Amino acid sequence: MLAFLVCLCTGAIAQTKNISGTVRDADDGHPLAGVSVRQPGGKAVPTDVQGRFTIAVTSGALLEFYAIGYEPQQVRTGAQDSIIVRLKNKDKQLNEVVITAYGATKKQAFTGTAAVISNEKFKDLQVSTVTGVLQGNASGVLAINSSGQPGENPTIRIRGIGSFNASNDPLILLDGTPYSGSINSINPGDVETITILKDASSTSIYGSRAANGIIQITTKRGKGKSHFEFSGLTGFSRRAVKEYPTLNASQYYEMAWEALRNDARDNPALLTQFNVPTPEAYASKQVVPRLVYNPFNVAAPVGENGKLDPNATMLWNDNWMDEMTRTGVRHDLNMNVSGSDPANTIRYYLSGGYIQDQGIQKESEFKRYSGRAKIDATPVKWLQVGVNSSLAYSSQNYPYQGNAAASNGIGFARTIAPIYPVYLRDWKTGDFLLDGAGNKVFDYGNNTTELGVLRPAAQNRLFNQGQNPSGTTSINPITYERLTANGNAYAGVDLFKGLSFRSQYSIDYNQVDNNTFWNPFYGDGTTSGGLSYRAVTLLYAQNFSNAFTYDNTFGQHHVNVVAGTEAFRRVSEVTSSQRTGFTYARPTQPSYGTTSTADGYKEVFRLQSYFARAAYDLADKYHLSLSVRTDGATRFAKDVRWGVFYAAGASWNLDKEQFMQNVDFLSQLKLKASYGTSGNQALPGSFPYLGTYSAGANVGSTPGSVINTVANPSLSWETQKQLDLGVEFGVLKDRIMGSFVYFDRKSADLLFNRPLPNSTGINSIADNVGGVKNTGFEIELNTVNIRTSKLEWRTSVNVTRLKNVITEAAPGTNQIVGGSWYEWFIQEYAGVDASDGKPMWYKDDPANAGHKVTTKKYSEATRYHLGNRLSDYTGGITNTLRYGQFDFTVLASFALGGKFYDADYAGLRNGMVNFGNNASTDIYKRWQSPENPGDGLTPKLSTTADNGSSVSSRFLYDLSYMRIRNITLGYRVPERLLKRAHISNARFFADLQNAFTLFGGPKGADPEAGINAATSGNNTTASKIFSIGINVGL
Amino acid sequence: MIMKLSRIILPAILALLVFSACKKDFLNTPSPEDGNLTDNIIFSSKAGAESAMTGIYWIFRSENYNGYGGDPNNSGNLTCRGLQTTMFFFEVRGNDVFEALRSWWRWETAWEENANGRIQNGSRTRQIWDMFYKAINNANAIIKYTPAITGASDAEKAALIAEAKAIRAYSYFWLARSYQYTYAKNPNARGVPLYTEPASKDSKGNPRAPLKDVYQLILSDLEEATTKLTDERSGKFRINRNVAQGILAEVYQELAMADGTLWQKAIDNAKAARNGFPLMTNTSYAAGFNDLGNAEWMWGFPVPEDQSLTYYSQYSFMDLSGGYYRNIYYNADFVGKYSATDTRRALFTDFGDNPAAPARKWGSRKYRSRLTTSITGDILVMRAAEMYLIEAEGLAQQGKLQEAIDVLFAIQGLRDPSAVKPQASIGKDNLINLILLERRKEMYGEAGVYYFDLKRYQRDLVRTGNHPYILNVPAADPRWLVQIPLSEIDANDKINPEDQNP
Repeated sequence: MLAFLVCLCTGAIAQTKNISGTVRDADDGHPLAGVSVRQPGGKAVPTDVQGRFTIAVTSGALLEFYAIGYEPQQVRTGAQDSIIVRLKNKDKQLNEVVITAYGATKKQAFTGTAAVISNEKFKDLQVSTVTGVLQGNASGVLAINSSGQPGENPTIRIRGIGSFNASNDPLILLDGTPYSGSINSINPGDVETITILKDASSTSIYGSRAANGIIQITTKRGKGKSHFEFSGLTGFSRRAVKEYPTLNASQYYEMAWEALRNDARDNPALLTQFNVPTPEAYASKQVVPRLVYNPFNVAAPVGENGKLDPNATMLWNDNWMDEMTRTGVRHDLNMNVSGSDPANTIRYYLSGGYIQDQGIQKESEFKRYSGRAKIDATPVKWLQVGVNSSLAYSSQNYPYQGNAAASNGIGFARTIAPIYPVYLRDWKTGDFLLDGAGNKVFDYGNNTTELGVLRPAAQNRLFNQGQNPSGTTSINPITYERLTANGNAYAGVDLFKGLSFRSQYSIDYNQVDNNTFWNPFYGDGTTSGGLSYRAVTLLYAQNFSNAFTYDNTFGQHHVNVVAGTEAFRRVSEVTSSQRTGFTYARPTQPSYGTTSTADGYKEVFRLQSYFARAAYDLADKYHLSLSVRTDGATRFAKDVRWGVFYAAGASWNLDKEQFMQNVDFLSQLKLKASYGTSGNQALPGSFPYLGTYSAGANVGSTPGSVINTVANPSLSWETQKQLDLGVEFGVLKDRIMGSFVYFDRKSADLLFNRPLPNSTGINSIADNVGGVKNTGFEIELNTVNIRTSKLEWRTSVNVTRLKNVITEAAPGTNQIVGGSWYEWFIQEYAGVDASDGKPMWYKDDPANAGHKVTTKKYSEATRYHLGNRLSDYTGGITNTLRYGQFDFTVLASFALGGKFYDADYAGLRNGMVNFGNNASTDIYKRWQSPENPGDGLTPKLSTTADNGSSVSSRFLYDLSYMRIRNITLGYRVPERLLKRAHISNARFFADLQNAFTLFGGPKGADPEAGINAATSGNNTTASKIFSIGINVGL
Repeated sequence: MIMKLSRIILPAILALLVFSACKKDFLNTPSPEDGNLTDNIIFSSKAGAESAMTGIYWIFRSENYNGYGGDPNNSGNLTCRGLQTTMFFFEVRGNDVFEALRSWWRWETAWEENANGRIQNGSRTRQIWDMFYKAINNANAIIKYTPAITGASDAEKAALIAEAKAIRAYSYFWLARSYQYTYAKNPNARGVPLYTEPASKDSKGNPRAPLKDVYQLILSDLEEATTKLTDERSGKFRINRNVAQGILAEVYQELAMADGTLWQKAIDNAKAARNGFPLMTNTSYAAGFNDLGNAEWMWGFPVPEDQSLTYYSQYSFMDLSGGYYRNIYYNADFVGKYSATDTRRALFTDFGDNPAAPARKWGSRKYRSRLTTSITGDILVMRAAEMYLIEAEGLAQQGKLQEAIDVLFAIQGLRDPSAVKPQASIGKDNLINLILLERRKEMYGEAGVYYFDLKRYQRDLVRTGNHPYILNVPAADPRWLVQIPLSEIDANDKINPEDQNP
């Protein structure tokens, strides 16, 4: 009882007085009628329908509150004459329900392994997407972003990666029915719980669809008195980690000078060719013509001593990163109304949400408008019907990022040498050059102030000539508009004793409209006379499931049997058109171009299934669950189309046993085990087993086609077998609760694009080869560290250990049995040769097997297995403090082990080989002479290629990191202040996302670089977001 | 009562619903024919087989291997797209044509052993290897399945098979010359793996066949092609008898370096090949090298504007005004080899002496985009001038110096109105060198003839003049060999690291 004691002592004086108050449900705040209120030993008074009561007590006395289904509560009265008491639902604790496939089960009877994230847990964290909720909050789940573009879906993996080429995406069930739309179209504000089903016994009834686990999203439903909630926030974002430090203009000029001097030292013929006496003179003379742009006011800015002329001042000094990025602004507004009629026969939930999220990169933006209507009705006792529909529209501006495009904004800003101006300048004076109308003109590296007139090629900027994303991102818009509609209707009938039937139909519609425009004058569109591209992608998915359920209890025996069928149909199609040859910079529509191309294709997929499950519970102690499912998939040929999957699970609630009754400290103890099979068919394409040609290989007006895939009629199911062994416990009256689960997930006959030698003319064939196993354990621990009347401190920790082991190597690959799929198989860097500063790598010693020797030829270097992309341990820690009206939450996620490859950093470590490209300030650790060898890793500067920045262990780092994902401080306005405004609850909060990142990689690297643990294409990365907001309930 | 009734009717309706959802055809309804072009559709008709044939030419023209937007681990490379870039790769490895603005083609020009060079980890070897082997596999499918097509006469089927064999031979010829030294150096040297069946589920990698086996297949394919093909074709992009003879002339030119008796076959085929393709006028020569309609062009690929290769196109690099990169320059030594009256000399543009960048003196107007709105021009693969020069070289090799001079002068005299006919007295070796020089002067920028002539004659590359990357690559240097892609070695059991070129 101490646990729920709320102390309202204020220095009491003993005297009798009338105290009135209201009793409410602690969860949703609805008033509780019929609660008995009394002083210990005194006479009880009941609360009325509005939950109100009045009782005469002595000041400072204890009041007891009792209600059926609620935890009893004691409250000490104080000086005030009005109190509000919140009673906690008893069932909530003991009969916590786990939503499973085709039904729900009591948590204690659940034989599987699931991570449950309730709204309680994430409502105070300011996440705008459902996937954001998954990060760090559940064991066994990896949710990794690979981009900082708002509105992008992260990669979600449950218990590692079981399939090589088939999909590893989990099945998403929205209110019990498979959801095919974008998970980010679901507003987290509408979500009641997210349950991640991981083991075979809880997923197997979904057969092949659940090969990668299930994410069950249950939306809120109405309950009790009409209730209105509003929340809103405004935030500001910038890059979570600081940008990679790079050279400034004078440093850049000095390093370029040194590279040229070294060139001439290595190749004295240059001295004669350029008629100079010394390598130093060559460098001083050549540095300006070679870099083309000279931002200094002197003709030869670097003297023969290799130092910048002290009299040199800069004619321009533009910061491209500032030019391309900004502080993003974010707004997030949500409101909902919910409730039910007094008889609870109609429950409704209506919501609307709006989010606007600007990316760090200029023009990058995401807006989403979403609405949901959910109605559940029980018109007669034996019939349940309901409709849940949602509509979300989003628009996304997605300027090039994370790809090799020359106009990739972040890549451009990061890698352009700091000597180039944003606008055209007079190279002598530094003054802006103006066009006929007197406006500044962007410097595209090859243009003049006159539109369409290029400069002599020798005056072109060395870096990405013809490009200036600062000028083009706004005039070359790339947008995605998405419309997601989801409708889900069900009807359930209670037939005879315990037998019921439920039919559920859902449809998902997803529409993506991509528009890309390149103006004909500047940037990407210059070579094609502009370009306008429009692609419309449509997805229609229907799911129809029908199942009978028999549920009955005979004394201590509880039986639950489900049997049914399911049919799934998905059609996706893409229609695109493109025109080039534009005369004007606008309008942007294809119609205004001259030369057109169009494309279209359609993919169909169908799956038909039969399933059954039987569960048996004895005396709430012993639980057994068996399931079987068969799936037929159109992706395979007729004879090999069907797969059968089964699972069994058992659990034992030891705490219910007689012999455990004397173990006082233990409040819960459950052992569980499950084993089962699943399958995967989710290869891309409709008919991967067919030998096909691709059309469209036209030469002029003659139609052509080329071989696309090779037939493999025996292509069939990838199989999975998963074993789970676990224990769940609660001690000290559940102040410490936790679970430990060991899992072993084996995949065989993998759907694998088996590599064929390129000389066969086909690079790979879809086949069933190879095997892998993902093993590990998951620990979840929730503790209440301090619980006093004013202060509560809770901690929850989850840790996942994951090991990916190859059990059978796929032919044609470099896999080795016992290794991991996710090993880095790359060249091993051996540092620089101290005598000449050239980079070296290891290769196998041909004369002495098992030994390594160094080589200076990159093409000779042997590739070695040098660590894993997957971390050994991942997890999250959440600490929540409540003090009076304040709440404070810190969520941290971490990864231990694994290797991270920083290709973006490698791009900044290519010495001075590519004039025009910037370099990391780590270039100062270069080799300069045998006496001054630098860090032993950074080669001598030169303008000839040395492969120093080619893929090797030089840029491989320990992936261990920790990120403070959320720090949230909230203040709940005392209800007595709100009462007059008819507000039931209000909370103000401030939130800081991705506040700190502890990582041992290069400065500037963000460790969350996608599931492959490698940066690429200078993509945008996670943002640090500060927001403030309010939640209000009426 | 009503409730009772509904409790009976409802399950009946529900059961009906359940069964209707499990209709047998549910899984059989989606038909591959709606969206997948299967091989049995392709090889059901003559039009289908022709479409598969056209696809191979499309591979040569446009396929994007490791180019911009290609393989994420190996992309962003503008110098990897189709046969034109293969040919230009060997152009910039010579001495006459080079990159001078340190942009695309810089590494190739400098013979750097990096990702853009010839090494196994690079993109160039994938571009060459994958493109030709993809063409070979597609050709093998046509060879195998054409006999069963309907709606074609036996002669038409034979012609389709012959054309596919010519494509296969042409591809193996490129591979053999790229991945090994010249045939004459060692006919038993490891060439490239041979495949005469289309890839299937059970395909395995083959070992590197000796050069002589590779050339045996090339010859048998081409001898068949030259007999079964006619001079008719549906478009100039396709191989007809003339083109097959032209390829055969090139092959014999290579083999005759080992066996002098083969020069006669080179001569005969070259002569037959150019029949009907008169040398272009000097006006046409100055028209931009972008028009497949040019009467001298024997073989080339049309590039209409909607199939433009934009900045990938060689015009992007070479066209001084319509190009995008405009970074290709020409060696002053090479320009100096033209006489002042040579009409081809007039196409060079003098940018003047630039002490800071001596390499940027000479540009050329030989290649110009056909359109001003986009960088577009047809792609030249073979023309009659090369056939004249093969013939002249063959005659000179046979010691028929005067005949050789007459053939050579057909070009020299046309291009330079004041040209002086060489005298037979200069001797065989000098004449051969004159012919080889004429190949460079007439065909620079086209197909890497200088590079392959150096290889064929096993001569050193000695860079001279204002070339920005002065090099000396001895004839025996391993860098003359492109390395086999690492991905091939990884996936092919029969080609192991020890089988790699040095």
